[in-house]
Amino acid sequence: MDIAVLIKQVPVSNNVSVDPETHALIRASAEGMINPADLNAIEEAMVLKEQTGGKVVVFTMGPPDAEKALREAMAHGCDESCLITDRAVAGGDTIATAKVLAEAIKKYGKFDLILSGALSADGATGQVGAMVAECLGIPHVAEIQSIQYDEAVPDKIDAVKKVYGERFHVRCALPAVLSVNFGSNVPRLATLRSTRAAKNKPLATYTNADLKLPADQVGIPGSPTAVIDSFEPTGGRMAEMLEGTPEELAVKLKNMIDEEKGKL
Amino acid sequence: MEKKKIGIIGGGISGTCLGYHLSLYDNAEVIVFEKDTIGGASTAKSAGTVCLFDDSLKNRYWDVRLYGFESYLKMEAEEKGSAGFDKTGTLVVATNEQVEATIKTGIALAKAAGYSGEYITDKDRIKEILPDISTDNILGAGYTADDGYFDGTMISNTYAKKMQKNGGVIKTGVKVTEVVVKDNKVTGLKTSEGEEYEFDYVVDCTGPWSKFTGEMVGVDVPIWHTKAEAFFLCPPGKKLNYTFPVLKYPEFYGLRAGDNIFICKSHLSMDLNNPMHAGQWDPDKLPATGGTDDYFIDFLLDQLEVKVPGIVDSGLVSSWLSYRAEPKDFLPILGETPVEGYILATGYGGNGVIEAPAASRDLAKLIMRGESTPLLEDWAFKRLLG
Amino acid sequence: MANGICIFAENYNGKLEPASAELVSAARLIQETTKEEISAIVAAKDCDTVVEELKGLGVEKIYVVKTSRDILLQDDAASEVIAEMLRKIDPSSVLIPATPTGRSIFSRVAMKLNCGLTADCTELLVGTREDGSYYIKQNKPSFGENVFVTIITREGYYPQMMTVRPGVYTAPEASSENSAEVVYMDDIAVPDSQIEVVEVLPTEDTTDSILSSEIVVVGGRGVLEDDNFALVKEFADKIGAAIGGTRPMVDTETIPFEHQIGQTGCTIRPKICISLGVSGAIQHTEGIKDTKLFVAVNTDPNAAIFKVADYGMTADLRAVLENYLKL
Repeated sequence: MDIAVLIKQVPVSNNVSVDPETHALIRASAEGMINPADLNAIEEAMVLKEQTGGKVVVFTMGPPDAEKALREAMAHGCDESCLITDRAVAGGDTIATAKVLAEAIKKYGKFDLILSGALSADGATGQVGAMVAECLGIPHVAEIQSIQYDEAVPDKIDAVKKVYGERFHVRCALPAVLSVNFGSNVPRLATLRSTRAAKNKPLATYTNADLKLPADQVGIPGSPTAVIDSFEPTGGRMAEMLEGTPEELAVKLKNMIDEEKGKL
Repeated sequence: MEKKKIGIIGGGISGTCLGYHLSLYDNAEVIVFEKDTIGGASTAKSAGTVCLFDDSLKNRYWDVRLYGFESYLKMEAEEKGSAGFDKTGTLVVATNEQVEATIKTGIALAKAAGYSGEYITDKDRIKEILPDISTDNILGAGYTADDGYFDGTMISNTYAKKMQKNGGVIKTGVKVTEVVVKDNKVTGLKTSEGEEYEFDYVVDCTGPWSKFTGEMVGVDVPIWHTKAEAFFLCPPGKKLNYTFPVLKYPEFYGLRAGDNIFICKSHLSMDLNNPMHAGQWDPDKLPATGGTDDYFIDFLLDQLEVKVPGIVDSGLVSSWLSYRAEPKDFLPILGETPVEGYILATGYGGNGVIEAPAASRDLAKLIMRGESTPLLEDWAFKRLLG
Repeated sequence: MANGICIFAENYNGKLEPASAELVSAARLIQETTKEEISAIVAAKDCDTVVEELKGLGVEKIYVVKTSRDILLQDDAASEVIAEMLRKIDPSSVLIPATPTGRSIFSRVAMKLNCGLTADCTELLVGTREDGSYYIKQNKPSFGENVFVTIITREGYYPQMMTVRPGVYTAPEASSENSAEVVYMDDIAVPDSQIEVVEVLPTEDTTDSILSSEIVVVGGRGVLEDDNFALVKEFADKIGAAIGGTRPMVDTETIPFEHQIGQTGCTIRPKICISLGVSGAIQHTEGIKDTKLFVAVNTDPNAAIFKVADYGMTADLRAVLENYLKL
């Protein structure tokens, strides 16, 4: 089974503030890492590869520096990688980004399965995987807990999805996109040796000259939505201190927990 | 007795330890200004090894090492966990005769102070202590079961508390924005909160930030940043069936961190002339985790393959990069500067946890009594001038 | 011309999801300015009870596709149906609960309609363009909760679609006096799906994995005093939480190393984190990310943990927990 894994480089720290004058984002550090849930997607790909053979290709769209995330993914066991980097496709929203990723997957080759992390640590939209599936005209199952493949049913993939307080066993025709929840497995670690070996694994670089998408479909011009402002939350970084007797505090704690649990 | 007002910039190991030692004097009024959290920056990225013997601090400064070690043992005895002591023992490996001689001297000094120490040449015994090591190409190893590593953040917080008990004041989340100087004499400082304080002395305890701190009074603090890069490794078998000691080679060192192993390039293997190792960077831009350079992977892989092959295929759990403040001679800068009342307690490099107690003890005496010590003479700013 | 505020009536087992009811209140606030009609869309096999619930909430119109089969989790088919409904209704905005189902189906819908989809809004405000037309300012958190951004759907793209975080708005009181026009869109066919639900699995025992737990109780040195740990364990069991801790908890073998949180141990991303007796050293706090609710209890009012928590209590954890367990 040949598998594509879509990953995103996210900031190591979400410690971001807003310039009060220009409202531009100020990042404490530029250090990036692989989005944590994407590591769970890579792990699922590794397990399937061990079972079925085939290759795993990791894709990302980003600045040239995103090569680091691809090398790291290959240190975790992915075989090949593809970096889509072009100013023309930068700054796009989820719609514009998904179009680019789908086109890159098509250009790279045929895949039986496409995996991604369910939500990113920075934007947390959870949209791109499903949008890529729509672009490719294939089904998707989002936010899954586990994957199983039965060789006796070669054109389908099974997954477990937790929703509405239940666990559903779903079966989806291949090719398909599955997005994997954070924490759903324990990703194998890279080692010093695998990290060094990853430096020599194949990395293809695409620009929009390769993908040939119309300029008004990608990047900022191709995005139906736009960020027009950013601001810091009121209240600052300090915890809101709650006062009261232990009895009162216990009640406050219970109310907060119950309210938040209601949203899970 | 006339009060002396001292403002300390920086709440890491340097600032809190000095603050505590000053607070022991009746006539000291001390305020520590920390822009973030106590012991949260470089100090948090310290391995906290205060080994009775290794090559990170020349044998000449043995007493400095011993004073640090015993201060923390006492701290730990007063309240368990307050220094984060993990008594794993230390194994210092001799790869050449020069290192061997240093280790042997260290052992003699440790024994003279009443601690255990032995130089082992029996390779089977070395393997008993650290089964994953390769004993090829080594001469022997020094070993003591009496030491281990401490937790710099924990120690800083304990010093901060002890200082507060003695009447000292800690201000966290407060950045010093200006040091007020009149007629080449410090008179106080201003903070991000818009407050102004009067001080007789202002001490720079900002380590990697010292270059910028010094600019506020026009003192060029001659420090460079070396990159301390560290990995947390998860051993191949997930859990070691032995206690991983503090392990010291001239090139790198390791110690246990829970079930994982912390491994870092050694302090003295940094080359200040190699731009990959040293430069002057902005510590505010350092990420809390990650940031290590590619060469570090190659370096460690080569080192571990030869020296500790049993853990070379460990998983990489996490990593960090830290900037250590180092003058060209790798020794701290303590004491007076050309600006009257502006004092330095910086440049500890990778040895802040080891050196701060003795250095602070002496520096407090200088500030409060005007009495210098041989240590302060050795580590004075003027050695670096001209 | 696109007109109307449309809400997606997510439902399961014939019941409207509470997050969808909340959207009615969000829509009303928009309506105050734009005066548009509020409608709801339902596509389900068992939709009659859902339609009744929607009527009670006071929406003005309900568009219904009564499907011949259950399309639960068949997001390929469901998105096709909903996209077709929206093409016919032509609303100016669509409000969707920011739930796994909402974001999954509407990601496909957004691509089909080539409109945008803003995720996880916590505030919707109405803006007015120079020509007098209205648009929705979609405010949402980004980078954890560290900054908020305002997103707009650019002029010319319709509908403006956004998912809204559950719990931000309060659902209106249901009333039997309300009525709504119900429009059955019988001409919309449900396409085949490539996805089938094979079975509903038995619910798992509460997993002990700290990484996948949505609720985590974290203990520090304060927990090691006076047998507090037994109390913490009881509390964690009561709220269904995994227990993590700082280095002293592991050093004393109170918890296994796999549950040590921070630089040396693991990084957790729970929705709810309750921190008890933790001072908040940076090596530890680096290991807790992306929480939605973070409450810290510590006796020291200056503890660094209060800099990273959302809510703080300067209190003895024992007293708080004992009272909690009585509730």
